[in-house]
Amino acid sequence: MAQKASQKAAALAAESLSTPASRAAFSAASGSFAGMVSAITGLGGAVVFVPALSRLGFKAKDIVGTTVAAVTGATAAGSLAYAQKGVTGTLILIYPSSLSVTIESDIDKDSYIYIYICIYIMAAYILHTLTHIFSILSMYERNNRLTVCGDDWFCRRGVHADWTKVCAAHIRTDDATDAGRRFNLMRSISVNKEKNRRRLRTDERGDC
Amino acid sequence: MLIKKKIDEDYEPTKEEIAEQERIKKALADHGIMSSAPDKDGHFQQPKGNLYTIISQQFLERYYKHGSWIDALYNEREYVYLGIAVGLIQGTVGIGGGVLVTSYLSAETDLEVHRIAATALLCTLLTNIAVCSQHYAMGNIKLRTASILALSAMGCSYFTARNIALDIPEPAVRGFIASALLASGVSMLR
Repeated sequence: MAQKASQKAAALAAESLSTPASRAAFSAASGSFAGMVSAITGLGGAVVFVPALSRLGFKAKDIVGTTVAAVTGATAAGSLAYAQKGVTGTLILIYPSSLSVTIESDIDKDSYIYIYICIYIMAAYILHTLTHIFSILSMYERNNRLTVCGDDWFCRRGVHADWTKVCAAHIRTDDATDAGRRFNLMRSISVNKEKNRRRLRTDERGDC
Repeated sequence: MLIKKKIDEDYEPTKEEIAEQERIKKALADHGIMSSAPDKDGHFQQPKGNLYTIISQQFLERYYKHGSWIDALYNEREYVYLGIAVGLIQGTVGIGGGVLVTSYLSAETDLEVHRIAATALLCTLLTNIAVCSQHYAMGNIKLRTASILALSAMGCSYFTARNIALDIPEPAVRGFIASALLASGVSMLR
């Protein structure tokens, strides 16, 4: 009984989606709903795409391929919107997800796998570069702002709010740290030597 | 540490924890960085500036919270472990990364549910691009249907994430995620 009812419903659905316009409208409606689900839940929207495409009468492999393409679009747009709102969390999860490509069992071992690995490696390098660029830009900003140095916690790590009152001893002791190295690098390339010497004279040192 | 297990509402932070929170607050304030954490009512503040500024502020927030990038990476190592586990499961079983990431972060961390959704979307993006190109090369994508679906989904996803999602109360979002996971499971069993 239930089988007959479901067959009848499927036949009705197939009949109602016989024209190109109705199929396009159905696809657009499904996509809109999936986009909403994707943005709210973070699940990608495949839970909507798969039944919708099977209703349209696609083969299994076409359903999977088309779903992946649509999900990619939905996640890209959702990610962009969340990033603009400042809600996106850490990006570190991206790095090890590359393993999903390298050990995927049913993937064709052709040149594409190298392309994927390159994409992930590039993404990792871009992220690493961004982190360093942001930290260096921040130091430039602090250099121009000339706020009062007195934060002992940062001083101990070689990061000083006011470069004109930086303690020379701290620079030397923190040279081994990452922050200290960046500090000294930026100091040497951002200001001229004469200015630097003047800053580090004993009478201009801060007491941080 | 960003990932930590949920604590009781009656839990009172120790002096060291309060001091650490104060230290982070002061460090962020000293450097003019707005915290990305929601306010007491659970509302996220809209950061100022363009996308570059917003993302750079997020990076710098992590920097000043942890002291250095090495410390930040070390303290957030749970994310790396989670990514490895997700990558392994996704590669062998084929279950989408978003489902696993959302489930784990909801159960085991005290991240806000909106942030969980945003993180899950972003961390599955690259994997989706890679798999999508593979399917395209194999001719499995019906371009006309995929373009209609993707364009409508992109528009709605962007609009919802920007204007609606952050205003939905957290319990409702959690219920929505649970329903979607349940529907996904049922569709797999059929």
